[in-house]
Parts: sequence; structure tokens; C-alpha cells
Amino acid sequence: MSDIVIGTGAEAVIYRTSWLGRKAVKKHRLEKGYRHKELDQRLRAYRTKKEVNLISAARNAGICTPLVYDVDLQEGTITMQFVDGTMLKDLLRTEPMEKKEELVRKMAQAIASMHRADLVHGDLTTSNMILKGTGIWFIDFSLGNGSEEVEDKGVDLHLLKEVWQSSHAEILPLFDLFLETYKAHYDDGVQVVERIAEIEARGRYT
Amino acid sequence: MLCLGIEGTAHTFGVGICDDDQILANVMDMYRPEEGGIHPREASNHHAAIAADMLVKALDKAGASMSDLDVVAFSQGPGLGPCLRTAATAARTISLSQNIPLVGVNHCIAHLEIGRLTTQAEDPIMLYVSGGNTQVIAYTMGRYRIFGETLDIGIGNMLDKFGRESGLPFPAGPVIEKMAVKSNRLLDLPYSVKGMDVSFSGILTAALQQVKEQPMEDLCNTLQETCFAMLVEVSERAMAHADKSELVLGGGVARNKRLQEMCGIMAEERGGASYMPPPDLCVDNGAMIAYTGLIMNKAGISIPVEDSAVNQRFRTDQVEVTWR
Repeated sequence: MSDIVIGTGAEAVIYRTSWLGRKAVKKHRLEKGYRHKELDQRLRAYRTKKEVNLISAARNAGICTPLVYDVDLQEGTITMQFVDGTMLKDLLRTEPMEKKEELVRKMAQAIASMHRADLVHGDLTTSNMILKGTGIWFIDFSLGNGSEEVEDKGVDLHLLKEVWQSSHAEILPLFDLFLETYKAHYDDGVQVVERIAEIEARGRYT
Repeated sequence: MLCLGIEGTAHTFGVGICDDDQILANVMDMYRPEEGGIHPREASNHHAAIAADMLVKALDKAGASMSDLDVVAFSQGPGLGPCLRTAATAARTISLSQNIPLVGVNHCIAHLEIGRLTTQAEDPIMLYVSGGNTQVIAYTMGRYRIFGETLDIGIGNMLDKFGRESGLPFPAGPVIEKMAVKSNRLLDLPYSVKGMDVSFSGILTAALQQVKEQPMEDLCNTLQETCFAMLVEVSERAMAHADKSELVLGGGVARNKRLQEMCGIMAEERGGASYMPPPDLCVDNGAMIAYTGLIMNKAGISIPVEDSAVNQRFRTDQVEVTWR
């Protein structure tokens, strides 16, 4: 079966593929011709390994993440479970208000668990959150990090807020529900939420 | 329309004259310290001493006289305070004595605009790499936005510091480039890209720690390969995000052939292209100030002398780009 490209970024290409009969996704961090061969190898291997470790750590913290089927550090590829569901980006536009509220609560609980485990996703957009069954699955940890810092967790939420303001402006009030639920599920959440305002104030664009 | 531009953000004092998009003169003189780096007061003393001669030289080259000028522009920032003020004073004097409009130009934007003028790039992102500045800039929504920048020091500054601490002559950049060519080894130095930003203080410290243990050629090669790769990575991300396929280099460090090569490879792999202005328009120069001042003035921009204070921390995105 030949792999089909389903996404391209500056750093990697994503393919739909299959793994021992299961629907899968293959992420390939591309070789870059401008880099010294050794540097290229080193960077791709390091980032691949880091991403896989983050996915595992998130899973251990109770977050739904794709199962990692195979890793090739030499090639810079990760083969993982294809998450067959619907992006929150779409559901937050189409579903009735009650359902949206439920989704927001679940999102907040999951992110609270992540931060409680000192994991930062790094790219909390609603395109990276998929509803599969009754759970919200998180994908694309390529910008993630392990961190205890309130600052890093604040930046994580700040990005989500910006996504909310630009893509889900009609349900802006639900962001307050998100914050309340987040704080209820994470003791240090209050500090993180306070930090968001400070991060916002640093913005340079008028 | 004839515009005279004065550049004086750091060690270079430059005067350029342009007539619409024709550069008629571009003269410059660099302050060279006996040892160590740029002392702002010494540099500004140097600028003050040569300013009048530079102006005369530029006018001669352009075959013009002071009274022929329609507009005068100056580098308003970012840069070293004393140096900026010297250039500004000269420009204000001309504005008042000739009764012509004064335009304050952002130095980084001038690099970008001269890149657009002198290369085939139409809507490029710019990788601006000099001693004092390291920014990736793209034009979106009416402003030149900084997509990524250095979190600590400029790459040119890092290379010069490395050179100074390890006994290489100043400026160290070209020396490092020559030594790097002799090696193909990659030592283990830290690679530091944080989101869309870069930082150089870590790799500088790590490189200096190895000066006694490793051959200088290998250190130089590793420094270049690592730091340039960081810059090209951020540039590539900016191109992907802003959906642009052209890259223009600017600033003194853009004269490095390996950096040019890497930008070219990256751009071509994306189906685009990388460009570079002629070398004497890559370094700090007056012509870019003159040209940018002119296009700004044609869009209706000028500042009264009372509002022409320099700004050492002039941000690229503070300017409303009304001329595009």
C-alpha cells in the first residue's frame, strides 16, 4: 500500500499509512540539504525521540494520545495510530451549546492533567484536539516540552486563547468556562491563569 | 526627486544620495578601534569628525549640490545612542538650512527595502543578520513583522566576541569564514532555536570553553554550520507560515558565502529563491536610508525636527508601512 501525503509543514511530512493492518499515520522529519549531514542527523533524531517521549509521558499522565507503533531515529520517522475522529475545531462550530460546553470541560480537564504532570503541549490549537468516542485526543507534540514553569504553562494557555479569539470568537464566553474547569482540576492552575494576562501585556502589535 | 540619506547606527557612517530608484552616491567610513569592540562615544566622535567631508564627497559623486536636495533622511534607530544622535543632528541641520522635509528611517526596514530594490525579489521575507541585529522579517497586514529574532546577541556580535576572546583579529567574521572552509568536522556545540527565536550566548560560551582543546578550523566550521542552520530554520518556518517563497539577505553577516549557500539550498528545496543585494548595500550604508526615506516621503511621511528624537530600541513593527 503506498502512503498518501495528508500534511506538509516546514519540518515534516505526514502520510496516511497502515501498520500491521491498523490505520496509521507516519510522520517523517525531512532531511534538510542546507545542514551539515551530522547536524541534520543529530537534530532529526533528537526531535523525533523527544516527540515520542512526550507522547508517551502524556499518555502516562492520562491524556489520550496516539499509540506509537514504530520509530526510526535514523530516518526521523514516527509511525503512530491514526486518530479516527473529529477535530474540535469543527465541533466547536457545529455542535449545540450544551455539547460545546461538555467539550470545553473535557478539554480543560485534559490540559489540567497535562500541566499537573509538568508537560507542556506547545501547540494547543483546536486542530490538534480530536474527539474520538467520548475522549479528547491530543496530537502533534512536536513543539512540546517537559516543564515545571508557570511561564511555560501560561504560554501554552495563551496560545489556546489566541486560537479561541481568532477561530472561535462566537464562543468566547466559553473560554471562561475553560479556565474555571482548568483551575478546578489543577492546584497551581490559579497562578498559570494569572500569568496569561502578563503574557498578553507583552504583545507588541496594536 | 533627490533624497540624501545619512546612516549612523553603529560603527559605519554613511551618506547616500538617490534620485527616485537610482543610487547616485554611496560613501561610507567605518570607525575601527585599535583593540576591543565599538565604544559608542568614540564611534560617535569619529562620525562627527568626518560627517562634513562625507556629505561633500557624496554630493560630488552625485554631481549635485545641497540646494538640489528635495528630502533628507536619517537612520532613526535601532542603534547606539551617541552614534544615532550624530547622524540625526546632521540630517536635522540639512532639513532646517535647506527647508526640506526630514524623514526618520528604521534601519532594519531600510535593509529590507534596498533588498527589494536591488534584487528580483518582490515580496520576500528578510533574514537580517548583522553585528547588532538578527531578525527574520516578513510583511503582513500592513507592517514589517518580526517573525523571529535573537533572544540575546546578534550573530555578528557573537562571532566578533568569539574572535576577540580567542585571539582572532577584528572583525572576526571574515576570518572565521576563511578558517571554516578548511574543516568539515562538526563538534558538539549547542543548537538553540526556541520557537521562532534563536539565542547565541550558549554556543558562544561552549565554543570558548573548547578553544584550548579543539583546532580553530573545526570550531569555526561548527560555529558557522550550527548558527547558520538555526537562522535558516527560523527563516524557513517564516516562509511556510507567511506563505512566501522568496528570501532576501541583509546586514554585514550576509556577506558570508556559506550562509548565502545555505539560504539558497533551503529556498530552492521549497521551490523558491534566495537573493542578496550587492555587498556594499548589504553592510550599513547611506544609500538604503536615502532610498527608503524617499519612498516613505512619497507616501506622505515626514517628521518635524521637534519630533525627530532617535530611538535606540526602534522596533521594526512600530512602523506603519503606508508605502506598500
